[in-house]
Amino acid sequence: MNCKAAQQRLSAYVDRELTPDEQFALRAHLSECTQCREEEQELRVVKALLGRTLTPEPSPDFAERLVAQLRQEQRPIAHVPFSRRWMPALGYGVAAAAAMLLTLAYINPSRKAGANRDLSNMPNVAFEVQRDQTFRSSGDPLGGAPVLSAVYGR
Amino acid sequence: MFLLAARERPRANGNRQALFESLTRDSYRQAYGLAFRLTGNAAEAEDLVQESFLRAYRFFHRYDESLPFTSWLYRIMTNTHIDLIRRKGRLKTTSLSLEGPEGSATWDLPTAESSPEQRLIEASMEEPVQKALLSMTAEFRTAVLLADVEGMAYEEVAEIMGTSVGTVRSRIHRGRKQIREHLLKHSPKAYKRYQDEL
Repeated sequence: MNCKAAQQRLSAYVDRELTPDEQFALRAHLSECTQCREEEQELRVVKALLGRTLTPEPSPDFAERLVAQLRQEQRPIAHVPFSRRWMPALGYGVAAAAAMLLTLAYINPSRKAGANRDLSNMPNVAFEVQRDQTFRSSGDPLGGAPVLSAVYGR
Repeated sequence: MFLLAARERPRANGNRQALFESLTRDSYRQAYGLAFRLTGNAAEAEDLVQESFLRAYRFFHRYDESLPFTSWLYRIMTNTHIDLIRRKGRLKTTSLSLEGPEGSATWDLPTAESSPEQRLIEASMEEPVQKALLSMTAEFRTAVLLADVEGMAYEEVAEIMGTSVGTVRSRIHRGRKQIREHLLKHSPKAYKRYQDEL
């Protein structure tokens, strides 16, 4: 193993994430290479520094504000007028067209469908989106693809 | 059988809401810590946490309970973070909410293992580290935080970021090097003091 290959694996080595073969080859290289050993040490310093950072705490009332906001979200759908919930600036017609386009966008397989396999069910999303009618954000939070910006040409 | 199922459904919905609220209370603190590290200030951290939990709630019917809730939430938070950056533009790097003699009043107390001198040195690195984090791309910052601050294995980081272990490996490695370069450039004395103290 040369220095270039060794250095690419150093972080994984520090994290014990190398395969046994990689680890064996890297250890052999490290026993003979001061430069790579120094690089390994520098990575350990950064890793330790990050691990020892203090945890930022939220303000004391944050939990209650968060829960209050979630409870607002849980209000029954029937109480809120359709036009105000879907898109404030749009009328019913455009909102219906948007819903249809959203459905089509979800049915088309996205590039990331493979990566999402474990954490999302792509085929069911279209119907759930239509049924939910609470979907305001600009993309599938589990897929990371901004669907609405594509629809509105942003 | 059908009547029984129909009667149970409204109650099940109420239970889901109560379940989600309970999960929220259990996880919001840790989520806030990560959100602060991702955004660098309290206001944006709160925004990120609130938006993430809202999206998590809206998609709660898709949560698979065999997975840990925080993994699923962090997946949403990671995507939301990138989404909010796209919407709002660059992150604010000028205002870091660090006040007080050793850092922010909102920081957790350090662990008892460090000596007072060590704690001072560590505290002096808080702001430089956060600035270094903010100078990176969201992808690198997220990978390094999940591995080194949240202590996750590469496979879990890959699951959360929706990418391969190989990509995670590369992002963590390059991310750490970027942090080191930033610290050497902007806080060389503090960084050297920290290295010597280790």
